Amino acid sequence: MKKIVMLLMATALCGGTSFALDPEIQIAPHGFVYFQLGQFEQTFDGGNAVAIPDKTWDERFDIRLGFDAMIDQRMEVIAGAELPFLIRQSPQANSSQVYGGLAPSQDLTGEDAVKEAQGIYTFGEDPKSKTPPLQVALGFFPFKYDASATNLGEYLFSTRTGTYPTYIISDFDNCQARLLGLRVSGWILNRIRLDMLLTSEQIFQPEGDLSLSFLAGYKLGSMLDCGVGVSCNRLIPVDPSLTNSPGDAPYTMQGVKLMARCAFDPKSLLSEGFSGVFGRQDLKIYSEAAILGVKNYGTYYDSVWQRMPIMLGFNFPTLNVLDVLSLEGEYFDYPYQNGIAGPDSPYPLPPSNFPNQNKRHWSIWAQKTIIKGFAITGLVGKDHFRWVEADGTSTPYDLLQANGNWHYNVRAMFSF
Amino acid sequence: MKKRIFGILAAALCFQAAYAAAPDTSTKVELSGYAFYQEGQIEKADVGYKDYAKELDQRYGFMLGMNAKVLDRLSIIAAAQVYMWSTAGGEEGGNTSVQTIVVPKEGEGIYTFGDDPASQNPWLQIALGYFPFKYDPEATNFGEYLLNPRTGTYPQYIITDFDNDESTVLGLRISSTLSGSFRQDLLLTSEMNLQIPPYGDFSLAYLLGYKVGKLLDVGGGILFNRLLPIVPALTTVPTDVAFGNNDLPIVENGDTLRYTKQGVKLMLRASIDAKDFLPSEIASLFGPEDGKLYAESAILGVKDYGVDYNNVWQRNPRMIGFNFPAFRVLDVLSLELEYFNPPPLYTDDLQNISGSAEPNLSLNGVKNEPLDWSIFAKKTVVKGMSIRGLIGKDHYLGYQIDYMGNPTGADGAALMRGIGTWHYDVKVMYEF
Repeated sequence: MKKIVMLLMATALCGGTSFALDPEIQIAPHGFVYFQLGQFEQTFDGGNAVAIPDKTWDERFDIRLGFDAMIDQRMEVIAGAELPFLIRQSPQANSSQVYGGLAPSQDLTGEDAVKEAQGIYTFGEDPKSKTPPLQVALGFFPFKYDASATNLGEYLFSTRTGTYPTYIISDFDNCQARLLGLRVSGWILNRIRLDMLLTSEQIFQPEGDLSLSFLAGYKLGSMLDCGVGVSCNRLIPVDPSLTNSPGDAPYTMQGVKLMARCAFDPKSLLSEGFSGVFGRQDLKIYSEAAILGVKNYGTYYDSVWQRMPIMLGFNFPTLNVLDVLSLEGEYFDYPYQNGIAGPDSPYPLPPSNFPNQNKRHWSIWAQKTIIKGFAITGLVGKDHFRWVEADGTSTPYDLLQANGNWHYNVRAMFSF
Repeated sequence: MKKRIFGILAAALCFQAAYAAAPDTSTKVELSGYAFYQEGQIEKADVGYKDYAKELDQRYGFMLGMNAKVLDRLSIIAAAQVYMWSTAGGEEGGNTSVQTIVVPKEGEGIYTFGDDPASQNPWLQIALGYFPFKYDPEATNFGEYLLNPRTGTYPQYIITDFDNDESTVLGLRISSTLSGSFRQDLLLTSEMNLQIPPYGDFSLAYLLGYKVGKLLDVGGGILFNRLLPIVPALTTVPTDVAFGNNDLPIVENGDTLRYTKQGVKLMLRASIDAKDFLPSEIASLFGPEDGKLYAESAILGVKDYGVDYNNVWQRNPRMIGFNFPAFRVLDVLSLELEYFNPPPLYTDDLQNISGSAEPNLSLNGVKNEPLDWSIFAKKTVVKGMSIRGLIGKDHYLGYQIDYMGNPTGADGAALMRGIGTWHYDVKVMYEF
């Protein structure tokens, strides 16, 4: 609560300062407003208190206020906060909720309110270059390495996946990680991008553990975009007795994740006149795979293949009618329920109630920019969507496990 | 519901096809905000809520907003407000330490059609999001009866809030002004008041307004409350059977009649500015708001049914207001009177409005005094600073607010229904 109040006050002060007093600092306010409707058409009822009944209505409203300040040519400060508001109306009256904003009775802080707060320093001859030789960022920032992924994928970082235990989380229109820590990035020959990230665990307990990640990406024009990454999860634990609890031996929450991805755009092989018929994202085929813990050990984690999600996506040609229309499928042969058993625990959840059905997930995602500043986004799918409660806790397992489970969302977003 | 969403998508695509060629401009962002400090006291509350009597309430906070002109025709408004409040004293000696809440104040996108997109009275305007809506410009405390969550049916209730005489709604607004004097509004809004479930139901409202210069401003409106329920069995609960005077369930069209939160609200309003009859040299002595006489009336549920809702006049609040001549010493000094006479034990308590559409009865046996009143004053001291004050017996619930800034009171209780109850508030506001 204090964080968001201070951030809003800082935003107000910076706004006044920049516009009135210091013309050398260039401040660009930014923000968005969205109104979203959706429904859980059919869900997996785990018999848990947080289970979401079929036909539960999912309505949201959110605003974001932020600024992007260029202190000088090399130093940039970005800050942004959101005030989400959620309406859940289930067919059973006693499991419905309305909550939002930031109130004393809630725990909607951190990732739910402060969405970005970082400073970025750019080195190199041209600080305005989009591919500088070196860039250092520190703070809380969004990070997306798989430009093509629209819903599934983005497996490397712990806000979306974990090990051990293994889990995957997806979120509508939010296919990226939000990380707290340090980012050091560099570009070579405008084609090769390298990233090193030292990030602090913010989502699951024990919090504060530091993870170290390296990513490399290569772009060959618009035809090919490939990349790999490794993340040493909880490499530096804040309290080793929690991350590596002796009582849990041989299990530990530490582990190594690997990722490989590739996107191919066949339009680059077409003649210029013909490819111009298509939208920029049309026809792209892309894939991402990861190993969420390379080490096999114990009885729970004895097969690396069970910790390997594979995603394949394709952007249908919409001929500029839509910005993107993608179909993504995911295969993930994890025998347990996708989630965490509890705080500080390296153990998996019980086996899935639908072991053969829970392997396959899918989503169709579409976006259309109506005019500058206004876009409509929609998704239908069986993915890894979680519901976040007013106290900040989320459903501990996939809501959409069995064949026939699915949900949809439509969002109208105004942004500047 | 899926059909409706597909309909929205189709409409958006059509919209795009027609207006994709709208001129582009660089985005211009204006900051806005205010800071306020407010003190008040509940001088006398109803028996049963005695602990609120003599309670001193404080509220302070600030708002920060951005208004981005993305295109000549598209504006985006995003604003957040920080409230802090505390209470002290009271006959029961209750104290509440400082509470803080950050709520969205406004978040909407507005697209304007017509020859002049900067016009104050555009031919057509569409807004989507969370936005304030005030249709009765003269009302200072009572009135504004048409939209949720200020009023509801069934059961009927009314909420007022100091210096906040408007509704803030979530949904779609389509507005049109013709000849600068004839205005129409169509609103499709979603129910999201924490204390008034079920949530998400869509209500449809249509309002008309007509201005004859400065002399006359009249309007009317209709609202179909919860016209599109998300879960019909929660909006019309199967066990809420409507009984007749013979204590037997009412059968209508071969089916048992049930109470439902669905209903139709009607509203009429008018205001007249007597200064328009005066010679200009005399009229100029008065402030712009002086001398106005205005009124609003509504029916919070036109349908009579069952023994509990058998008299439409018991769902008919009537407000009349007058702005005393303040000769520019004050911006406005208004007296408003309201007559609302539901059955004696009906109450505006939000705490009793559960999932049921059955009558909202007082838990403490206090009978409702049908006459409410308030005096509101505002003075702009210097540019950017104003002082506002109110004293009255109204539908005030107290200082506590919910996640969206809706007034709820400490426990949703209506504090002022009996004779002699009253409160006052004073606010100092700085704004830019």
